[in-house]
Amino acid sequence: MMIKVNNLTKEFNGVSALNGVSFQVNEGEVFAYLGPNGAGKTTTVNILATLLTPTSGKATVAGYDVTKDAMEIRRLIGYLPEDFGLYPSLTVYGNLDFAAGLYRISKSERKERIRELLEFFGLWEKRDVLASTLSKGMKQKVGIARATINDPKILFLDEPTSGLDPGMAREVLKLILRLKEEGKTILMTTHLLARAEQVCDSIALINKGKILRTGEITDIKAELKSKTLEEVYFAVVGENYE
Amino acid sequence: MNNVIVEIGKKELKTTFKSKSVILPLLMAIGIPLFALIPQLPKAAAGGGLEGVYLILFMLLLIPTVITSLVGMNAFLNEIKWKTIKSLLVAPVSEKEIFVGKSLACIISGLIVEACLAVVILAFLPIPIDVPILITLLVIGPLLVMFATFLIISATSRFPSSAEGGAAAFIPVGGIMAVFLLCFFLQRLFKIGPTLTNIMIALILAVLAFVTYIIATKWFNRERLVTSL
Repeated sequence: MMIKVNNLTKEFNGVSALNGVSFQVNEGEVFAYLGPNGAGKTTTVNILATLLTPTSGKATVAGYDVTKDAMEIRRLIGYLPEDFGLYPSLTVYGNLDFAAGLYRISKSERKERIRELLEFFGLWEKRDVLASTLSKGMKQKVGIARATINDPKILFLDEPTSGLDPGMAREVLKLILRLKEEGKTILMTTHLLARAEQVCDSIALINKGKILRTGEITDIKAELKSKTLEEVYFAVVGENYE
Repeated sequence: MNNVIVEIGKKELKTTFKSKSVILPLLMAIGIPLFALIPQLPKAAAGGGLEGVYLILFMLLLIPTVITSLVGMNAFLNEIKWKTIKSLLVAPVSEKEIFVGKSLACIISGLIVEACLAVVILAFLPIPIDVPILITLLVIGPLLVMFATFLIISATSRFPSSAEGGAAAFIPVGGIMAVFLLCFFLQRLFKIGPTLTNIMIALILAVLAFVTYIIATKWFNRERLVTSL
Protein backbone atom coordinates (compact mmCIF):
# COMPACT_ATOMS: atom_id res chain seq x y z
CA MET A 1 0.00 0.00 0.00
CA MET A 2 1.57 3.29 -1.09
CA ILE A 3 -0.92 5.70 0.45
CA LYS A 4 -3.15 4.92 3.39
CA VAL A 5 -5.57 7.48 4.76
CA ASN A 6 -7.52 6.62 7.88
CA ASN A 7 -10.28 8.75 9.40
CA LEU A 8 -8.55 11.97 8.47
CA THR A 9 -10.04 15.27 9.59
CA LYS A 10 -8.94 18.82 9.00
CA GLU A 11 -10.38 22.00 10.41
CA PHE A 12 -9.53 25.59 9.51
CA ASN A 13 -10.48 27.98 12.33
CA GLY A 14 -13.15 25.60 13.55
CA VAL A 15 -14.59 25.00 10.06
CA SER A 16 -14.38 21.38 8.97
CA ALA A 17 -12.75 20.78 5.57
CA LEU A 18 -12.29 17.01 5.90
CA ASN A 19 -14.48 14.80 8.00
CA GLY A 20 -13.24 11.25 8.59
CA VAL A 21 -11.68 10.66 5.17
CA SER A 22 -10.37 7.12 4.53
CA PHE A 23 -8.99 5.51 1.37
CA GLN A 24 -6.01 3.56 0.08
CA VAL A 25 -3.84 3.75 -3.02
CA ASN A 26 -1.91 0.70 -4.23
CA GLU A 27 1.64 0.82 -5.55
CA GLY A 28 1.90 1.60 -9.26
CA GLU A 29 -1.71 2.63 -9.76
CA VAL A 30 -3.25 5.89 -10.94
CA PHE A 31 -5.82 7.03 -8.42
CA ALA A 32 -8.36 9.72 -9.25
CA TYR A 33 -9.67 11.85 -6.42
CA LEU A 34 -12.94 13.24 -7.65
CA GLY A 35 -15.43 15.71 -6.29
CA PRO A 36 -16.95 19.14 -6.81
CA ASN A 37 -15.09 22.37 -6.04
CA GLY A 38 -14.54 22.85 -2.31
CA ALA A 39 -15.14 19.15 -1.59
CA GLY A 40 -11.76 18.79 0.19
CA LYS A 41 -9.63 17.34 -2.61
CA THR A 42 -6.79 19.88 -2.44
CA THR A 43 -6.81 19.82 1.38
CA THR A 44 -6.33 16.03 1.32
CA VAL A 45 -3.53 16.27 -1.25
CA ASN A 46 -1.86 19.04 0.77
CA ILE A 47 -1.93 16.88 3.88
CA LEU A 48 -0.46 13.90 2.00
CA ALA A 49 2.22 16.19 0.54
CA THR A 50 3.05 17.37 4.10
CA LEU A 51 2.03 20.95 3.39
CA LEU A 52 -0.75 20.84 5.98
CA THR A 53 -1.04 18.89 9.21
CA PRO A 54 -4.21 16.93 9.90
CA THR A 55 -6.40 17.88 12.84
CA SER A 56 -6.93 14.19 13.62
CA GLY A 57 -6.69 10.79 11.98
CA LYS A 58 -3.72 9.16 10.33
CA ALA A 59 -2.21 9.19 6.87
CA THR A 60 0.86 7.36 5.63
CA VAL A 61 2.76 7.75 2.37
CA ALA A 62 5.09 4.86 1.46
CA GLY A 63 4.75 3.75 5.07
CA TYR A 64 5.80 7.11 6.50
CA ASP A 65 3.50 9.10 8.76
CA VAL A 66 2.64 12.53 7.28
CA THR A 67 2.99 14.23 10.65
CA LYS A 68 6.05 12.50 12.08
CA ASP A 69 8.09 11.70 8.97
CA ALA A 70 7.41 14.72 6.77
CA MET A 71 11.00 15.06 5.53
CA GLU A 72 11.20 11.39 4.42
CA ILE A 73 7.92 11.79 2.52
CA ARG A 74 9.15 15.00 0.83
CA ARG A 75 12.15 13.10 -0.55
CA LEU A 76 9.89 10.44 -2.09
CA ILE A 77 7.13 12.49 -3.65
CA GLY A 78 6.58 14.85 -6.54
CA TYR A 79 3.87 17.48 -6.36
CA LEU A 80 2.14 19.51 -9.03
CA PRO A 81 0.11 22.35 -7.54
CA GLU A 82 -3.04 23.57 -9.27
CA ASP A 83 -1.27 26.68 -10.56
CA PHE A 84 1.87 25.06 -12.03
CA GLY A 85 4.25 26.44 -9.36
CA LEU A 86 6.70 28.02 -11.81
CA TYR A 87 8.81 31.14 -11.33
CA PRO A 88 7.72 33.51 -14.13
CA SER A 89 11.07 35.29 -14.39
CA LEU A 90 13.07 32.07 -14.72
CA THR A 91 13.38 30.07 -17.93
CA VAL A 92 12.03 26.56 -18.32
CA TYR A 93 15.57 25.27 -17.70
CA GLY A 94 16.02 27.68 -14.77
CA ASN A 95 12.86 26.43 -13.09
CA LEU A 96 13.97 22.81 -13.36
CA ASP A 97 17.50 23.69 -12.30
CA PHE A 98 16.23 25.38 -9.14
CA ALA A 99 13.96 22.43 -8.37
CA ALA A 100 16.89 20.03 -8.86
CA GLY A 101 18.91 22.15 -6.43
CA LEU A 102 16.20 21.84 -3.78
CA TYR A 103 16.43 18.04 -4.11
CA ARG A 104 20.24 18.23 -3.74
CA ILE A 105 20.88 16.74 -7.18
CA SER A 106 24.55 17.33 -8.01
CA LYS A 107 25.47 19.76 -10.81
CA SER A 108 26.79 17.02 -13.07
CA GLU A 109 23.78 14.76 -12.56
CA ARG A 110 21.43 17.70 -12.85
CA LYS A 111 22.25 18.61 -16.46
CA GLU A 112 21.61 15.07 -17.59
CA ARG A 113 18.38 14.75 -15.59
CA ILE A 114 16.97 18.05 -16.88
CA ARG A 115 17.81 17.18 -20.48
CA GLU A 116 16.22 13.75 -20.06
CA LEU A 117 13.04 15.28 -18.62
CA LEU A 118 12.77 18.07 -21.18
CA GLU A 119 13.10 15.52 -23.96
CA PHE A 120 10.59 13.17 -22.31
CA PHE A 121 8.04 15.99 -22.07
CA GLY A 122 8.89 17.41 -25.51
CA LEU A 123 10.16 20.67 -24.03
CA TRP A 124 13.83 20.68 -25.06
CA GLU A 125 13.26 23.39 -27.69
CA LYS A 126 11.59 25.57 -25.04
CA ARG A 127 14.39 25.30 -22.49
CA ASP A 128 15.48 28.96 -22.77
CA VAL A 129 11.98 30.41 -22.84
CA LEU A 130 10.76 32.37 -19.82
CA ALA A 131 8.05 30.48 -17.93
CA SER A 132 5.84 33.59 -17.96
CA THR A 133 5.62 33.52 -21.76
CA LEU A 134 4.49 29.86 -22.04
CA SER A 135 0.94 28.78 -22.84
CA LYS A 136 -1.12 27.16 -20.07
CA GLY A 137 -0.59 23.70 -21.54
CA MET A 138 3.17 24.19 -21.78
CA LYS A 139 3.28 25.50 -18.22
CA GLN A 140 1.45 22.39 -17.10
CA LYS A 141 3.97 20.18 -18.87
CA VAL A 142 6.87 22.09 -17.28
CA GLY A 143 5.07 21.80 -13.94
CA ILE A 144 4.86 18.02 -14.29
CA ALA A 145 8.50 17.87 -15.40
CA ARG A 146 9.39 19.91 -12.32
CA ALA A 147 7.36 17.56 -10.11
CA THR A 148 9.30 14.56 -11.44
CA ILE A 149 12.78 16.12 -11.18
CA ASN A 150 13.64 13.90 -8.18
CA ASP A 151 12.33 10.75 -9.91
CA PRO A 152 9.62 10.38 -7.25
CA LYS A 153 7.94 7.12 -6.33
CA ILE A 154 4.64 8.90 -5.77
CA LEU A 155 3.19 11.83 -7.67
CA PHE A 156 0.46 14.15 -6.45
CA LEU A 157 -1.13 16.02 -9.32
CA ASP A 158 -3.68 18.64 -8.34
CA GLU A 159 -5.99 19.29 -11.32
CA PRO A 160 -3.35 18.48 -13.96
CA THR A 161 -5.85 19.03 -16.81
CA SER A 162 -7.65 22.04 -15.39
CA GLY A 163 -8.06 24.90 -17.88
CA LEU A 164 -6.39 23.03 -20.74
CA ASP A 165 -7.89 22.67 -24.20
CA PRO A 166 -8.93 19.09 -25.08
CA GLY A 167 -5.81 18.47 -27.16
CA MET A 168 -3.43 19.55 -24.44
CA ALA A 169 -5.47 17.75 -21.76
CA ARG A 170 -5.12 14.54 -23.80
CA GLU A 171 -1.37 15.11 -24.09
CA VAL A 172 -1.01 15.63 -20.34
CA LEU A 173 -3.00 12.44 -19.66
CA LYS A 174 -0.74 10.56 -22.08
CA LEU A 175 2.22 11.79 -20.07
CA ILE A 176 0.55 10.55 -16.89
CA LEU A 177 0.16 7.13 -18.51
CA ARG A 178 3.83 7.13 -19.45
CA LEU A 179 4.74 7.96 -15.87
CA LYS A 180 2.51 5.10 -14.72
CA GLU A 181 4.35 2.77 -17.10
CA GLU A 182 7.55 3.85 -15.34
CA GLY A 183 6.06 2.38 -12.16
CA LYS A 184 5.06 5.57 -10.39
CA THR A 185 2.07 5.72 -8.09
CA ILE A 186 -0.07 8.71 -9.05
CA LEU A 187 -2.82 10.43 -7.12
CA MET A 188 -4.58 13.07 -9.21
CA THR A 189 -7.56 15.29 -8.69
CA THR A 190 -9.54 16.12 -11.80
CA HIS A 191 -12.85 17.24 -13.21
CA LEU A 192 -12.41 15.53 -16.57
CA LEU A 193 -14.20 12.29 -15.82
CA ALA A 194 -14.05 10.74 -19.29
CA ARG A 195 -10.31 11.37 -19.49
CA ALA A 196 -9.74 10.18 -15.92
CA GLU A 197 -11.47 6.93 -16.78
CA GLN A 198 -8.88 6.27 -19.48
CA VAL A 199 -5.91 6.50 -17.14
CA CYS A 200 -7.14 5.64 -13.64
CA ASP A 201 -7.36 2.30 -11.89
CA SER A 202 -9.11 3.40 -8.72
CA ILE A 203 -11.07 6.39 -7.50
CA ALA A 204 -12.40 8.09 -4.43
CA LEU A 205 -15.42 10.35 -4.64
CA ILE A 206 -15.49 13.10 -2.05
CA ASN A 207 -18.07 15.76 -1.26
CA LYS A 208 -18.33 18.18 1.66
CA GLY A 209 -15.22 16.64 3.23
CA LYS A 210 -16.61 13.09 3.28
CA ILE A 211 -15.68 10.12 1.11
CA LEU A 212 -18.82 8.89 -0.62
CA ARG A 213 -17.33 5.94 -2.49
CA THR A 214 -13.87 4.50 -3.05
CA GLY A 215 -12.46 1.47 -4.83
CA GLU A 216 -11.51 0.16 -8.27
CA ILE A 217 -13.39 1.81 -11.12
CA THR A 218 -14.57 -1.51 -12.57
CA ASP A 219 -15.97 -2.65 -9.20
CA ILE A 220 -17.79 0.63 -8.55
CA LYS A 221 -19.23 0.68 -12.06
CA ALA A 222 -20.48 -2.90 -11.67
CA GLU A 223 -21.91 -2.16 -8.24
CA LEU A 224 -23.79 0.92 -9.42
CA LYS A 225 -24.65 -0.60 -12.81
CA SER A 226 -23.08 2.45 -14.44
CA LYS A 227 -21.41 2.39 -17.84
CA THR A 228 -19.14 5.36 -17.41
CA LEU A 229 -17.29 7.18 -14.66
CA GLU A 230 -19.51 10.17 -15.33
CA GLU A 231 -22.57 8.09 -14.51
CA VAL A 232 -20.85 6.87 -11.36
CA TYR A 233 -19.98 10.45 -10.40
CA PHE A 234 -23.53 11.74 -10.73
CA ALA A 235 -25.03 8.65 -9.17
CA VAL A 236 -22.85 9.11 -6.10
CA VAL A 237 -22.27 12.87 -5.89
CA GLY A 238 -25.41 13.97 -7.72
CA GLU A 239 -27.89 14.04 -4.89
CA ASN A 240 -25.34 15.62 -2.53
CA TYR A 241 -24.17 18.19 -5.04
CA GLU A 242 -24.72 21.82 -4.09
CA MET B 1 27.88 26.37 2.88
CA ASN B 2 24.84 24.13 2.45
CA ASN B 3 24.01 23.80 -1.27
CA VAL B 4 20.27 24.21 -0.83
CA ILE B 5 20.76 27.53 0.98
CA VAL B 6 22.97 28.74 -1.87
CA GLU B 7 20.38 27.58 -4.46
CA ILE B 8 17.58 29.46 -2.69
CA GLY B 9 19.78 32.55 -2.29
CA LYS B 10 20.78 32.49 -5.99
CA LYS B 11 17.18 32.07 -7.13
CA GLU B 12 16.11 34.91 -4.84
CA LEU B 13 18.75 37.25 -6.28
CA LYS B 14 17.82 36.31 -9.87
CA THR B 15 14.08 36.79 -9.41
CA THR B 16 14.47 39.96 -7.32
CA PHE B 17 16.78 41.79 -9.69
CA LYS B 18 14.66 40.89 -12.71
CA SER B 19 11.73 42.69 -11.15
CA LYS B 20 11.31 46.30 -12.28
CA SER B 21 9.27 47.05 -9.19
CA VAL B 22 12.38 46.48 -7.08
CA ILE B 23 15.10 48.03 -9.27
CA LEU B 24 13.76 51.59 -9.31
CA PRO B 25 13.19 51.89 -5.55
CA LEU B 26 16.62 50.28 -5.06
CA LEU B 27 18.37 52.87 -7.21
CA MET B 28 16.52 55.66 -5.46
CA ALA B 29 17.29 54.22 -2.03
CA ILE B 30 20.99 54.20 -2.87
CA GLY B 31 21.24 57.33 -4.99
CA ILE B 32 19.30 60.00 -3.14
CA PRO B 33 20.79 59.61 0.36
CA LEU B 34 24.23 58.94 -1.08
CA PHE B 35 24.36 62.18 -3.01
CA ALA B 36 22.81 64.10 -0.15
CA LEU B 37 24.99 62.75 2.65
CA ILE B 38 28.43 61.96 1.20
CA PRO B 39 29.30 65.62 0.44
CA GLN B 40 28.38 66.50 4.03
CA LEU B 41 31.07 64.23 5.49
CA PRO B 42 34.17 66.32 4.57
CA LYS B 43 32.30 69.46 5.64
CA ALA B 44 31.49 67.94 9.03
CA ALA B 45 35.11 66.77 9.42
CA ALA B 46 36.49 70.19 8.44
CA GLY B 47 34.24 71.77 11.05
CA GLY B 48 36.23 69.85 13.66
CA GLY B 49 33.25 68.09 15.23
CA LEU B 50 33.62 64.33 14.94
CA GLU B 51 30.13 63.85 16.37
CA GLY B 52 28.77 65.25 13.13
CA VAL B 53 30.84 62.74 11.16
CA TYR B 54 29.54 59.83 13.28
CA LEU B 55 25.97 61.00 12.84
CA ILE B 56 26.29 61.17 9.05
CA LEU B 57 27.99 57.77 9.03
CA PHE B 58 25.12 56.20 10.92
CA MET B 59 22.66 57.78 8.49
CA LEU B 60 24.68 56.40 5.59
CA LEU B 61 24.61 52.97 7.18
CA LEU B 62 20.84 53.00 6.89
CA ILE B 63 21.19 52.79 3.08
CA PRO B 64 22.31 49.12 3.02
CA THR B 65 19.57 48.24 5.50
CA VAL B 66 16.96 49.87 3.23
CA ILE B 67 18.36 47.82 0.32
CA THR B 68 18.12 44.71 2.47
CA SER B 69 14.52 45.53 3.37
CA LEU B 70 13.55 46.11 -0.26
CA VAL B 71 15.10 42.83 -1.38
CA GLY B 72 13.64 40.86 1.53
CA MET B 73 10.23 42.46 1.62
CA ASN B 74 8.79 40.41 -1.23
CA ALA B 75 10.67 37.18 -0.46
CA PHE B 76 7.53 35.33 0.62
CA LEU B 77 4.87 37.57 -0.91
CA ASN B 78 6.22 36.82 -4.39
CA GLU B 79 6.18 33.07 -3.71
CA ILE B 80 2.52 33.46 -2.77
CA LYS B 81 1.69 35.74 -5.72
CA TRP B 82 3.43 33.43 -8.21
CA LYS B 83 1.86 30.40 -6.48
CA THR B 84 5.30 28.81 -6.14
CA ILE B 85 5.19 28.57 -2.37
CA LYS B 86 3.81 25.00 -2.38
CA SER B 87 6.52 23.79 -4.77
CA LEU B 88 9.14 25.28 -2.45
CA LEU B 89 7.65 23.95 0.77
CA VAL B 90 7.03 20.44 -0.58
CA ALA B 91 10.75 19.97 -1.28
CA PRO B 92 12.92 18.25 1.36
CA VAL B 93 14.22 21.54 2.68
CA SER B 94 14.16 22.48 6.35
CA GLU B 95 12.64 25.68 7.72
CA LYS B 96 16.13 26.89 8.62
CA GLU B 97 17.40 26.34 5.07
CA ILE B 98 14.50 28.28 3.56
CA PHE B 99 14.94 31.10 6.07
CA VAL B 100 18.71 31.35 5.65
CA GLY B 101 18.47 30.97 1.84
CA LYS B 102 16.02 33.86 1.62
CA SER B 103 18.15 35.89 4.05
CA LEU B 104 21.31 35.22 2.05
CA ALA B 105 20.06 37.24 -0.92
CA CYS B 106 19.28 40.21 1.34
CA ILE B 107 22.60 39.98 3.20
CA ILE B 108 24.61 39.83 -0.03
CA SER B 109 22.78 42.82 -1.52
CA GLY B 110 23.16 44.83 1.68
CA LEU B 111 26.81 43.91 2.17
CA ILE B 112 27.76 44.86 -1.39
CA VAL B 113 26.32 48.35 -0.87
CA GLU B 114 27.89 48.52 2.60
CA ALA B 115 31.31 47.52 1.22
CA CYS B 116 31.08 50.15 -1.54
CA LEU B 117 30.19 52.79 1.04
CA ALA B 118 33.10 51.77 3.28
CA VAL B 119 35.58 51.89 0.38
CA VAL B 120 34.37 55.33 -0.76
CA ILE B 121 34.48 56.75 2.78
CA LEU B 122 37.77 55.19 3.86
CA ALA B 123 39.72 55.61 0.64
CA PHE B 124 38.44 58.75 -0.99
CA LEU B 125 37.00 61.14 1.56
CA PRO B 126 39.24 63.55 3.49
CA ILE B 127 38.05 62.61 6.98
CA PRO B 128 40.19 61.48 9.91
CA ILE B 129 39.93 57.71 10.28
CA ASP B 130 39.76 56.66 13.91
CA VAL B 131 38.77 53.48 15.75
CA PRO B 132 35.07 54.42 16.20
CA ILE B 133 34.76 55.10 12.46
CA LEU B 134 36.39 51.77 11.63
CA ILE B 135 34.08 49.94 14.07
CA THR B 136 31.10 51.74 12.55
CA LEU B 137 31.94 50.83 8.97
CA LEU B 138 33.45 47.38 9.38
CA VAL B 139 31.47 45.91 12.27
CA ILE B 140 28.26 47.86 12.91
CA GLY B 141 27.44 48.17 9.18
CA PRO B 142 27.46 44.43 8.44
CA LEU B 143 25.67 43.68 11.73
CA LEU B 144 22.96 46.19 10.83
CA VAL B 145 22.48 44.44 7.50
CA MET B 146 22.12 41.06 9.23
CA PHE B 147 19.74 42.38 11.88
CA ALA B 148 17.60 44.13 9.25
CA THR B 149 17.56 40.98 7.11
CA PHE B 150 16.43 38.68 9.91
CA LEU B 151 13.77 41.19 10.97
CA ILE B 152 12.30 41.60 7.48
CA ILE B 153 12.42 37.90 6.59
CA SER B 154 10.91 36.82 9.90
CA ALA B 155 8.14 39.43 9.65
CA THR B 156 7.23 38.61 6.05
CA SER B 157 7.41 34.84 6.56
CA ARG B 158 4.95 35.12 9.42
CA PHE B 159 2.79 37.87 7.93
CA PRO B 160 3.35 37.78 4.13
CA SER B 161 0.65 40.36 3.46
CA SER B 162 2.60 42.91 5.52
CA ALA B 163 4.83 43.30 2.45
CA GLU B 164 1.91 44.63 0.45
CA GLY B 165 2.13 48.39 0.21
CA GLY B 166 5.62 48.33 1.68
CA ALA B 167 4.52 48.37 5.33
CA ALA B 168 7.06 45.68 6.22
CA ALA B 169 9.97 47.91 5.11
CA PHE B 170 9.46 50.00 8.23
CA ILE B 171 10.03 47.04 10.55
CA PRO B 172 13.86 46.94 10.19
CA VAL B 173 14.14 50.73 10.23
CA GLY B 174 12.02 50.81 13.39
CA GLY B 175 14.13 48.09 15.00
CA ILE B 176 17.39 49.85 14.16
CA MET B 177 16.14 53.22 15.38
CA ALA B 178 15.16 51.56 18.67
CA VAL B 179 18.70 50.17 19.03
CA PHE B 180 20.27 53.56 18.29
CA LEU B 181 17.98 55.33 20.77
CA LEU B 182 18.75 52.73 23.43
CA CYS B 183 22.50 53.16 22.88
CA PHE B 184 22.21 56.96 22.88
CA PHE B 185 20.37 56.73 26.19
CA LEU B 186 22.98 54.35 27.66
CA GLN B 187 25.82 56.56 26.43
CA ARG B 188 24.36 59.61 28.15
CA LEU B 189 23.57 57.63 31.28
CA PHE B 190 27.04 56.14 31.70
CA LYS B 191 28.93 58.98 29.95
CA ILE B 192 30.97 56.62 27.77
CA GLY B 193 33.20 57.57 24.83
CA PRO B 194 32.57 56.88 21.12
CA THR B 195 34.72 53.71 20.95
CA LEU B 196 32.92 52.06 23.85
CA THR B 197 29.58 53.28 22.53
CA ASN B 198 30.23 51.68 19.17
CA ILE B 199 31.37 48.42 20.77
CA MET B 200 28.16 48.48 22.81
CA ILE B 201 26.06 49.07 19.66
CA ALA B 202 27.87 46.21 17.88
CA LEU B 203 27.30 43.82 20.80
CA ILE B 204 23.61 44.73 21.12
CA LEU B 205 23.12 44.29 17.35
CA ALA B 206 24.90 40.92 17.35
CA VAL B 207 22.73 39.64 20.20
CA LEU B 208 19.54 40.99 18.63
CA ALA B 209 20.39 39.50 15.21
CA PHE B 210 21.03 36.11 16.80
CA VAL B 211 17.84 36.21 18.91
CA THR B 212 15.77 37.31 15.89
CA TYR B 213 17.20 34.44 13.83
CA ILE B 214 16.40 31.87 16.54
CA ILE B 215 12.86 33.16 17.08
CA ALA B 216 12.18 33.47 13.33
CA THR B 217 13.25 29.90 12.50
CA LYS B 218 11.09 28.62 15.37
CA TRP B 219 8.19 30.78 14.17
CA PHE B 220 8.42 29.58 10.58
CA ASN B 221 5.16 27.85 9.77
CA ARG B 222 4.58 26.03 6.47
CA GLU B 223 0.85 25.71 7.00
CA ARG B 224 0.45 29.43 7.58
CA LEU B 225 2.20 30.17 4.28
CA VAL B 226 0.19 27.54 2.38
CA THR B 227 -3.13 28.76 3.71
CA SER B 228 -2.29 32.38 2.91
CA LEU B 229 -2.62 31.54 -0.81
